[in-house]
Amino acid sequence: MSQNQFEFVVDPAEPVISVRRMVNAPRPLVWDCYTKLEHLRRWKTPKGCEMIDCALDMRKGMPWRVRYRRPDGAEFGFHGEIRDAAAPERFTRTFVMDGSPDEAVETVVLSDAGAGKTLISTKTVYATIAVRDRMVQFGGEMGAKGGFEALDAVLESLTSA
Amino acid sequence: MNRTADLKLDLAFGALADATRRHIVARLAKGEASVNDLVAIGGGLSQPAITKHVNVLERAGLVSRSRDGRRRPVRLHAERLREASAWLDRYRAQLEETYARLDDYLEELQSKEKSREPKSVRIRRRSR
Repeated sequence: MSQNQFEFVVDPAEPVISVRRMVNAPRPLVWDCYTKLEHLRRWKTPKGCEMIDCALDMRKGMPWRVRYRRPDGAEFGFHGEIRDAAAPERFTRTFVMDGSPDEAVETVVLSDAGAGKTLISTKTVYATIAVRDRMVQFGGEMGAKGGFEALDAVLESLTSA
Repeated sequence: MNRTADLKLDLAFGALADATRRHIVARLAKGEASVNDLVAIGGGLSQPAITKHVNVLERAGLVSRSRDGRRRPVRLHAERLREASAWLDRYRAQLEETYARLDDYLEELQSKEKSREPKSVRIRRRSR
């Protein structure tokens, strides 16, 4: 896996998740990857899934949607609205899981980190902590089974004890 | 999952998201420790700061503090940790995987751009 900086913070008191990730590409290219369908299709699709529908117009107030099909045939998707966008620096959009009444607000900020690198900072604010945790639970099950990372050593020492 | 379990898990889940608290949990996995022991591994954090982190872990049911005379050792509740860390880690892994795909894709785009540069300039000139 990449040795690029990756921070994942789940606030214990607020329904917020913040992620920071460095990538080796200039900001305009990263912006394109986040805002153009032909690019999104290539990297945002969860592993093993197929993107079957996607619409995105980065202008303020415009709706967006995406829908995927899992290998078992089940479909899921997300939709929302662009709240604000300033290329190539930041956008804010609402984020709703299809069939769910709960709306989250996601802000993505791209910072030029020099030397052809870009820092991606995302902050997602959910309606409540319970909503956030449901989304996270779903997010974790979306694609292939993930491995343990941060707590690997801890869990290992527990199970071997 | 029932609602009570859900709420309990919410707390544990948030508690584990913090790096300092993960350090504390990692230390406690080796055996109980006093708050002072934890201050020693806390990366320069003050005792009140460490106590605050321990309180968050305690509210989440991940640790408990027993009374042992004047000592109040902090002890890890392993079962709760296993429950809570499973989905947090799954989601984290999912995110890391997505960013790794973005890495690969950006690399592909940039190498394509490099190898195509001279040609596309020529084509553009001819068409104008």
